[in-house]
Amino acid sequence: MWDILRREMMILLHERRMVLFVLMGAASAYALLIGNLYQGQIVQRIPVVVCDLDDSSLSRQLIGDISNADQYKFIGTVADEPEAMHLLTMQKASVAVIIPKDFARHFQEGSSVNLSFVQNGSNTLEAGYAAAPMQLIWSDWVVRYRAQADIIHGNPELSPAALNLNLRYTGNPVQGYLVFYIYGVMLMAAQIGITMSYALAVQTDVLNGYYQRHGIICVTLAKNLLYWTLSFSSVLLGILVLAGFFDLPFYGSMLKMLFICGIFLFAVENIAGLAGIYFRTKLALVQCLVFYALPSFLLSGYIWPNQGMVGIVNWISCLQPVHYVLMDFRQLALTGAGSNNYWQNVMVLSLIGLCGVIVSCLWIRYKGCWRLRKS
Amino acid sequence: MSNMLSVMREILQEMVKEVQVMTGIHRRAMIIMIVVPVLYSLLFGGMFYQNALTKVPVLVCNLDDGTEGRQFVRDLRMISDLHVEEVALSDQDIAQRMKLDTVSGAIIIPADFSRKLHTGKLTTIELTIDNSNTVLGGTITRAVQSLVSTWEADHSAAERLVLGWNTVDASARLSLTTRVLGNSTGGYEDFFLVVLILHAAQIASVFSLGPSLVLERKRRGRKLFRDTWCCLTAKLIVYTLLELSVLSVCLAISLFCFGLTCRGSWLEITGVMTAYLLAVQAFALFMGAWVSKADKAITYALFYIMPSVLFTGAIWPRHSMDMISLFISYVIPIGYVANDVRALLVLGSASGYGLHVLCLLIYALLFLGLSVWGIKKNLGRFLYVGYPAAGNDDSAS
Repeated sequence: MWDILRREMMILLHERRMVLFVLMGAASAYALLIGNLYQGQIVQRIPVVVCDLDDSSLSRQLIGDISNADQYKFIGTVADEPEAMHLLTMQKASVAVIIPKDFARHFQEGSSVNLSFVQNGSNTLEAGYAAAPMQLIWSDWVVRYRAQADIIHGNPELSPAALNLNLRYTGNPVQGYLVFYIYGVMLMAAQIGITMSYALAVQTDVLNGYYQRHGIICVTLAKNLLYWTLSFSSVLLGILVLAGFFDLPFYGSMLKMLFICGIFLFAVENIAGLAGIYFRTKLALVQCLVFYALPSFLLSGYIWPNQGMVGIVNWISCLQPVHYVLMDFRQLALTGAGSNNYWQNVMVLSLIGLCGVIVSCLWIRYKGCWRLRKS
Repeated sequence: MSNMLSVMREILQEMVKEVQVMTGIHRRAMIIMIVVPVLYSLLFGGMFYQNALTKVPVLVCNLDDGTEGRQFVRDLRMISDLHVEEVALSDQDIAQRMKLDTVSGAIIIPADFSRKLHTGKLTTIELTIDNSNTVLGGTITRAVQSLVSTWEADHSAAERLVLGWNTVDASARLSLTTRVLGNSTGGYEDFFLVVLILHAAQIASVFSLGPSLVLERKRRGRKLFRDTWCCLTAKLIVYTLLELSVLSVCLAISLFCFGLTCRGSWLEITGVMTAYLLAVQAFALFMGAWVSKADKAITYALFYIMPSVLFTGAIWPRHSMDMISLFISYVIPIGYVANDVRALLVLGSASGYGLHVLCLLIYALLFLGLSVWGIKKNLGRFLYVGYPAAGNDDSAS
């Protein structure tokens, strides 16, 4: 067993240095790269233009509030609506606020006033973030407007609002994109690393008959152990990067998080092993693994939830090991508690891994016998 | 002039040969370049088919015995975005259920909700959202906020009517009308699908054309060395045309099957896609020209290709990036196309379109030049000195 491990290590160090780098470094490299991209948490500096058709002191107060909003980058005022629309369609501005003519007069008389908030909706993510500050400004102005109207009608004691909504966010209170995305990216990078390295290791040794010479179970166990340990270390490194560089929360039990990660790595490792046995050329194998990576992440239900998927896509989503780990990992990290399905997911992943090991051993044995008969 | 014509003729002859090679020894590369983008389009199009989330599970705890509380729950049930489950639990139990269950939000209607509304006092509805998944959290927030705004306006007006205000004054309000240009529903098909299709095209091209060139260096080494410019230019044109056809089919599928919007001119869309594909194929040739083994053309490109889609500026906007991410977004070819193609589709126009096409063409030329240099350098050593150039991978393309 020790000899097999040493040989495998030597191959990684001397012949597959790039693969070793992907195995050990992908999780932390992706975490650093994507973490740096989303380090602002929310979309900021959203370019906003105001079309002030009223040009009164009150409208200028409103413009002041808009330009002071943290998430906006105020690019100026324009005199007419078509100019604002032009800026939007040319993507020079993402948001245009249109203050109507007679805004101040209607406001002070307590009659209806309508502010227009026009967005470039081509980027849904940005549009979502852009609406929030304006909603806050508007809520504040509604209170002022009501108070003004109540004074005009001689009812200053009236409450400016009848119904209030108290919003409380758990998990991701700032609605940051970093925490929403990064845990999954890190685990996906670890998946790419372990699948590629393990599958290549299995394929080479199946083709050169190494399994038959040294015992199928022994070699399978040694390879499993080595690649799993290296990949698990890379996940630990990734977690350290997330916690150390980006100060990301890990509220849940670290043991539970690492446990489900470990089982997940075991499952994908052995699925990759099957691919390694199936493909005859290194190129075909690597191609298959990289083509699988993107759909597996997007279809996992991690970004676009499963309740938004149609039947067949939902079904495909449930076929993938990542589906059983990503949400639980994020949930544990952000809220401190895994879902009700935590143990069920662990069971599914264990089953996938165990089936992978058994089928691999049987398949390698069958291939060996077939080669013997042929020779 | 005659020189130019003879070069053109040579390239044309090479293109004919390249088609034969593509359908012969590079059959698998060709199949990958056709199948991967189409398959990805179908998968991702199917994934976002509903375009918006519906029936997001929320718990409602109505502590009020009055009619208003019941009416509010009924109104919540009418919202198709939400799947309302009415429960009678304490705050702590609700928090516990939110942690353990698949519910993403909880609404608590206070015990004195009806009484306060009837007596004109301010009452507050508590909404707690598990925002681990911001897509789910955002859906609940929007739905509940919209209902509360309507209720608030109606009840404020009713209150003022009771105090003797006239109808017009009582119902007067400061409203905020939101208008969204392009993707008015905020649907994910229009937002995400085209970006993913473009990404699929670069994945398919780089991970198949690059390795196939490595193998070809071994098979047609002398020919490649002699006519490097012509061979690579022919390859570039043939594979670009192939991938352009595939990309057009993917867009057609998305338009007809998944309801993707198209407001822009097809000519402009095709123009920017062609420039993008030229840059991507040239990059694939560059990888294939410089690496020693076929699988290395994949592993080396892996770090660049996979995360590149996130740096396009089409998902996370450029104005919100730091300097490093901004630099990366301008280094990658997809950064010049994703936003433009989507803007052309949903808005009908894209700013900086011409400049971006020019940048992509410069990229294509640069990578083509580097590929020629790589081929000359590697094959020169092999042909005249005898070093192995194309690795020892004997796998078929």
